[in-house]
Amino acid sequence: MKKMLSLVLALALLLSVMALPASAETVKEVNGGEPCTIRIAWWGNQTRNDLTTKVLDMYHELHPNVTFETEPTSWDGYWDKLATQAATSSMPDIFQQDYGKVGSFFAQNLMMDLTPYVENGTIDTSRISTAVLESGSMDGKLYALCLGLNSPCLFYDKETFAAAGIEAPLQLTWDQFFSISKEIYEKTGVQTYIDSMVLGMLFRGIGTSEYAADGTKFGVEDDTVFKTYFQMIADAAKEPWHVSPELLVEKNPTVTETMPIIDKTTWDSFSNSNQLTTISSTAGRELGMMMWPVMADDTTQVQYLKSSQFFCGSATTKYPDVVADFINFFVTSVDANLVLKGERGVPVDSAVLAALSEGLNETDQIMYSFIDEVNKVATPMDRPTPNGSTQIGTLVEDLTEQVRYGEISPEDAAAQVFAEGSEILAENAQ
Amino acid sequence: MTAMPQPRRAKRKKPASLSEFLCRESVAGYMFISLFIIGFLVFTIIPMIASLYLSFTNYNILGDAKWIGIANYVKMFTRDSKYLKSLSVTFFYAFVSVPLKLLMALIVAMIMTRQSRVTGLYRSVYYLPSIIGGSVAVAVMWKQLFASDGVINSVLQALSINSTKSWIGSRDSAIWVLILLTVWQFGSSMLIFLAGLKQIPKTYYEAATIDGAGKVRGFFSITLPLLTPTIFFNLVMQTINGFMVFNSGYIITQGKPLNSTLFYALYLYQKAFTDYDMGYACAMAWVLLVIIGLMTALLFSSSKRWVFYQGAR
Repeated sequence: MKKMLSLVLALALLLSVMALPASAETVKEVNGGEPCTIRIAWWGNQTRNDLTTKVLDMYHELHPNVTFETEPTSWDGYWDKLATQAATSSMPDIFQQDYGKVGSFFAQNLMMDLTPYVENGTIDTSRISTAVLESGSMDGKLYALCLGLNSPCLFYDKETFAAAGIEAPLQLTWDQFFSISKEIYEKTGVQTYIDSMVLGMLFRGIGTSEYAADGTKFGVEDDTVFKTYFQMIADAAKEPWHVSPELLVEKNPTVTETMPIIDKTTWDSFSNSNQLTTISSTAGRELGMMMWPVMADDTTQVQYLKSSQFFCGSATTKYPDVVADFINFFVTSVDANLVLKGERGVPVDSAVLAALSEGLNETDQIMYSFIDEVNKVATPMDRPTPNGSTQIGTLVEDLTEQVRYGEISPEDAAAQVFAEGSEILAENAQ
Repeated sequence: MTAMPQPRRAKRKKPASLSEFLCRESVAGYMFISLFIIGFLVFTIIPMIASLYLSFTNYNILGDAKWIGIANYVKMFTRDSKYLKSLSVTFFYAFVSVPLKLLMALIVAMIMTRQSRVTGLYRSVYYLPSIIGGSVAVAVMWKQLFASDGVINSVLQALSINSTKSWIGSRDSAIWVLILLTVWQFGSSMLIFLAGLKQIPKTYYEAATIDGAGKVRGFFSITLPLLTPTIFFNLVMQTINGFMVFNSGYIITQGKPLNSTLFYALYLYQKAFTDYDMGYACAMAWVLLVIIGLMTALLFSSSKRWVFYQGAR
């Protein structure tokens, strides 16, 4: 908790001290000039793939002896593939890492220790805050370098709001959210989508977390929060302004290209701030950002800042110095980040951030000022999720769908999640 | 004359040179099949043994496998309602789609046996869906066709039937969309039927016509009995494929809505690669193997009653 609070403070520092000069970028030879092929994997989408490939080409121009083999995938496919590669010791030299998964990769010794390369100066962390570095460190050693900061956010369609003549505030209460949804539907016919990401935020609102500190049980004693959540899903599903569950099968909200907000089926999308560039460019129009709605009687602000993703080296890579040098280039080079445009989140290197802040386009400005606003109110982020949380996530998704179709009552759904979820957590703790 | 073979035999007893060894017929034979044998061992047998072992463990891919006995198998049938759902979906799918597909294939094959100048073209055209059918692109196209603002609804609206139904989104029609996709891919069964039909001697029909039998009688008394070996072959192959269906459920519906299209293989995949519950997934794979084995055995044992081999009796 303390760690993440200091992360927040560090970001405040970053945003205020933007005037640091960028150090001249010098090109050192890597791998003794010998040709080598580096495999690099990330999850993402077409926008990210294009930007990342451009930066790989830039690195190849600086170091002609280094060629890249890229393995970009979507979020779903990424972890399948990486786990299989880990089991067969054929992991990519460099791979993107997530805050929720870094712990299990560390436990299996799958990541390369970057600390020696920070000490010998290959990786320059002088302009990165300690808190950000710590979010990718285990046992005092750096394993994963953060690529950007982001925050949960509610995207909304500006055109729809304008057409309905509604002003979008920075943060809605759930009551307001429901009434705005109704008003928008009546005036424009555009629907609303509420998804299961809401659940975690309900826990945060009452100052607790979905899972207990040791991960062996839920963070609450009974199923009240689950009841609130499923009741919300049921109430919304009854309304004509909420998108029908049938349509959600067609327009899979977990894939950027088919999200219902893309073709204005809905005006909203629960997501993360760094997704703005991608969703806006896929939709071909400007989207606005709000903080997540809160309950009127919430005690705690739900918004938080987090490391959106990391780069790691594989523990078995043959070219650790190249890996380290590339990660350094990717995170600290101004030129590289002018191409990446903060698509992975707000840059963590203060010089990069300063350089980027000068030439922001409109979309980026929205994201940066949103992060700035969040930074004023953010509370510490949740602990990494325990083993078994993916299974519970699947369970919640299944029950949410059943509630939308009216197959099960919100009360029964809540009781079932709480009972089966507790069982899963207890089993995994053994 | 009799002395001649002696030295030759003595020569053979000497250790054979490498080239001589390689030229032996049996050695050459083994060499030729060794590629397959090695591939079969490395990519089929060894993984199968590994998965059998893993099915008795709790294994999350990243960590080490932990022996838990038959707990996975017990959980499957006692505490996992989603598993039982996937089982019933798959049985329904296989039992409905396979007969429909074979019926479709047989009808089209019967039409194709007529000789005309364009028959060749039609055969190719009807075979086309089978070549491209399993692909992702066709599944995506299928999704577009049956979307609520898709082609099917547009056509229905043009026929002044007011339909905005989401075919893949409603629980009573989603599985039928997938069944229809399978039935549409009848090409390979059709080709096999065509070959079967051509082997039925024309003389039978001529004799039957002289005896006064019509076309319908001819079909049921001559075509169908003589075609039973072909039907049997197609039935076995398609049933096995039916139980292993994955692509369409994964791409078009992701098992939704309400798990009404959650095929066995799809749930297995989700367990393995979404939940990282690899031990459980391995156990599921073995149960599927047993189910398919039983179904095939059942078909074979029933075949004695209804499959008629020419010249067998």
